[in-house]
Amino acid sequence: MAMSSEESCSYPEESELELGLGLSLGGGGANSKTKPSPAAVEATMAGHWGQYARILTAKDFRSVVSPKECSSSSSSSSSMTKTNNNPSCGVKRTAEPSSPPGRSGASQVVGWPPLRNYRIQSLVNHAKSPKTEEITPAIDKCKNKTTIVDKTNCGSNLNRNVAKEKGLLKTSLFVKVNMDRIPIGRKVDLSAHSCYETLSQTLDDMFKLSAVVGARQEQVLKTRRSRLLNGSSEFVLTYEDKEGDWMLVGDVPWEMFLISVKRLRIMRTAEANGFAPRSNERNRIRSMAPM
Amino acid sequence: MVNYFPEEVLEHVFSFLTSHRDRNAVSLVCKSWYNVERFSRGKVFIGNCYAISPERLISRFPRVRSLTLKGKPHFADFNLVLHDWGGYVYPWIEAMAKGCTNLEELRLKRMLVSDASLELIAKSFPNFKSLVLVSCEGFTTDGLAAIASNCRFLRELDLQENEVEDPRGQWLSCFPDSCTSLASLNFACLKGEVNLAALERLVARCRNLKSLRLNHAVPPDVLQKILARAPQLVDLGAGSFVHDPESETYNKLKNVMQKCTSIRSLSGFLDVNARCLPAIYPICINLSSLNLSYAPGIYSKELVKLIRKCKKLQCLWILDTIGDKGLRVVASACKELQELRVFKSDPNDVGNAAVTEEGLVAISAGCPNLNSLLYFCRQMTNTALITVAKNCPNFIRFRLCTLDPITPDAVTMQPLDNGFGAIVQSCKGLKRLSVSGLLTDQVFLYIGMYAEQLEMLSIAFAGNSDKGMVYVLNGCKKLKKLEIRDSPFGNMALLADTGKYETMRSLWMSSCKVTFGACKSLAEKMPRLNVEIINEGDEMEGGSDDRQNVEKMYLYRTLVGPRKDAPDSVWTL
Repeated sequence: MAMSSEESCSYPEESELELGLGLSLGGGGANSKTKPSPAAVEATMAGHWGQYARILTAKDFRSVVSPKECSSSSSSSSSMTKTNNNPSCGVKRTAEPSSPPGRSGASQVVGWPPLRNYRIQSLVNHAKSPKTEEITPAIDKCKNKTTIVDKTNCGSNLNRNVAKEKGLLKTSLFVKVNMDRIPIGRKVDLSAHSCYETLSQTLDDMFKLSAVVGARQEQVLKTRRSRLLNGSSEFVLTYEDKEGDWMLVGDVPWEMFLISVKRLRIMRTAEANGFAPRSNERNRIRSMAPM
Repeated sequence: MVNYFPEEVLEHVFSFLTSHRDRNAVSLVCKSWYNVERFSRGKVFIGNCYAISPERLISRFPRVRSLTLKGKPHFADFNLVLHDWGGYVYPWIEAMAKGCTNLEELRLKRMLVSDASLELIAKSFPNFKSLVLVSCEGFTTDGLAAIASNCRFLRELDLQENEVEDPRGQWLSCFPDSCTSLASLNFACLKGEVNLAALERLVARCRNLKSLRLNHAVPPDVLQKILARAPQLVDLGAGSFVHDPESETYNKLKNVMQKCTSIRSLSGFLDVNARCLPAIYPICINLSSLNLSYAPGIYSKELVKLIRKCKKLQCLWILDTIGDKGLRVVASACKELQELRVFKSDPNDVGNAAVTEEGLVAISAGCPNLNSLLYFCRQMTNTALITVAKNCPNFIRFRLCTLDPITPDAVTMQPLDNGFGAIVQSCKGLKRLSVSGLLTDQVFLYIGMYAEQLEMLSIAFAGNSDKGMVYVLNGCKKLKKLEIRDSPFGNMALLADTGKYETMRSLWMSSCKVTFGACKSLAEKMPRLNVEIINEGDEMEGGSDDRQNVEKMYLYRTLVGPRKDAPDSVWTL
């Protein structure tokens, strides 16, 4: 494959770092079709699926391609090697220790890290369930959640097990809700909701937010929906995420919110310093937020 | 030496010898001891099922009651070996069914087990008591149903990490009401549903049940009922531990747990709501073994809270989500720790969970009795390894696995030769070693020099030249299994000491520099070795060029010549 010879040209001769890992490519590897470059530190691992990889030395900082990790992460271990389907198959791995953690791409090597298939499968299956940090695609929130809500409302264990097998199991997700200047907090079950609107409504009811507003009650009743969320209320809804940061509710898809939320807080808009008015700034905040 | 003792006395004396090694040694003394030993031998361990045939086993040990067999090479665990390479158990069972029907126990690892085999076991051995399957595949729950239905005295059914198809899921209800002998039941690896009512009844009537490991499909309320019936459990594997902490079930579970004062070993938590973990706090103080390596749902904070209470822990298997910080807590709380395994939680490494050399150093400082380690880490340093070697000279098993297989010392960028060198020098009893990271021939020089008790060595992406492998072959006198992948060892090393391979169980070399011609000449020279070449591609079609590199070679000593059940893609030279 052309890829390999391209890469070999771009690498300086690292003779002092020669590890002798020049696994002979001379017709030896199973599906290798490349000619080895004698001086380059290059190794071909002709695994089952004709994939090949380069082994770079510690001083080689110029790795380019970052293989698509996410796409292969949700399938079985054998998919670790199926990236040869990806045309940019010159998989590279850096030995650079200062590279950001978790991005070395070493997982593209067949059978490395050496974990039993059984173990990898069970971890991957767990990752598929909504409880983990894998980013799920944004889907029509409310529509999707009604099915799940049905399943949680069903008390029987059989349904729960069936739902679980489909990776849809949601158990109750009670989180604390505190409001500024009110010492006693409440708890709300997030899994009973399918979208921000219903959550907001529930919180409205719980904390009688409309009542606090007082005289403007008729107006409030009409525009009740999403008041907490659209920035027009006296209050703003925030949450603490897994990393301990306080964030504005409503920016991310509902599923992602469920994964990262630890607890909620209703703050008075006046006191919520640093939160830009939502309607104008939504896009800006989004683009700044680390994804 | 004249034998003054009648055979019965010898036999009685030998009955105190339980280890295979001792028994093997005894049988070499003289003919009469050989005979006494072989007739009295009950347990046989066969590390490579192709080293001997079932017929010869039975003819030498006609009274064998317990058989342990291992099939595929170790690297099969990591997808380096074809699925159908071999390791079929059926011929063994067939032979035993004809010649040795008092078989009571069968322990298999990495073998292909068919439903037909299980059915044959169920039919052929009236005293069958114990079936342990580890990393096997090829069977379904139908086979389990046959075992459950027919083995009247079944004491142990232990399924560890097998790939099992589950077409019907009714195998549990096949245990007849008369079955009350079960002491150990482990079906944690099964993916399907089980008949919960049958499970409850089974637990209720098996008063000797000591070990129970459940799968996902057992919901919390059933778990609670089971524990209420079996407070005598010593080993528990919770499948699903997802409760609503406000629920009645959870409350009941908490109460029941407090009464389970015999539990010493805990595992599972395949699905878990971490907020429910306080229910198990009462038993933590009694735990000697804790396996949370299948519980990615427990985050570091809760994990640490839990482990902190396990002051008597001797064996801990966890995920690297625990982090270095968590390991420091382990080091301060679990002073009696002997075995630690920290697994990668994220095989594709898209997250940030990891442990580094710091966690390991902390453990070594806090847990001087540590003798067995498996450590998947992001990085390592020589200094850390040297410190660990000083703190823990008692290692028997030391397996390190860096995320990047050729990562150097994270601080100095040097190879990790000296670090591993320190380990082998300090740990005089080291029997198993897996090295990783940037390594040159130097590390093998150290291993050859110091690792006198080493029996198993795993090498990946290491070394510079044939010299490395030769150091090991020359130096490690007790070496039994050597497995090498992606390292630059070639013909010179392979052929340097061919006689050595008859003293070893097996040698695996993949993606090295060994040629077809060298393998052929080795096979010719050593008739008592099977030299197998595994091909996946079609490059070997045209009668093979001797100068071609061999992708995968597996050789092992055998008394029965080339096997007849190899698939087309495996050539025995």
